[in-house]
Amino acid sequence: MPASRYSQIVANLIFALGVAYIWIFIPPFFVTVIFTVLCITWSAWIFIANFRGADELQAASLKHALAAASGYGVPLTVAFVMLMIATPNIQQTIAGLAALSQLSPASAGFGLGVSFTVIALCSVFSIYNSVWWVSKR
Amino acid sequence: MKNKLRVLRAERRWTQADLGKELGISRNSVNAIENGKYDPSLPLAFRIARLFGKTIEEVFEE
Repeated sequence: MPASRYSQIVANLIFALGVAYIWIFIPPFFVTVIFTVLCITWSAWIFIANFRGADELQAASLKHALAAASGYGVPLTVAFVMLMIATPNIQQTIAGLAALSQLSPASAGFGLGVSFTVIALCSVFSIYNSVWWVSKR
Repeated sequence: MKNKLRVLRAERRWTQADLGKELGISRNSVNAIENGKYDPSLPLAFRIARLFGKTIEEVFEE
């Protein structure tokens, strides 16, 4: 069953709000697991659209959003990582966070870098996917 | 991109679902193409033109 314009946009919003809720309120572990399973199931269902043909709308929206994520998300991530490496204040903040978490600064920096990369790529993907459905339908 | 898909389909009394079945795409995709909201790929444009016995230029226009 093809997804409608609104179900795609609502799903993107639910993912963003759900992740924010989990980060801010830290709900019980099983809530996080259920949410993650739902996210993966939805993503897999949309990804399967690629195998139904290049002219399916979901496949076209995926291509558009992935192109945006690689085109904007990757340079944005690289720029911020370079900024993180080059800015003493950011390094001190990371060292402070590492000390709080009893981690080495390298581990904390790596973790923050990976987190930022994932957030940047997912955000660009979700925004461009939603914009595609708004503009093309 | 404008096209005459709706007219050509109506001439044959096909529904969007019928046309989608003939072309191997979903009804949603047919609807989006008819309304000019989605431009089909070149292979699909050829399939559409061939199905109606027309050239691509006769079906689609800028």
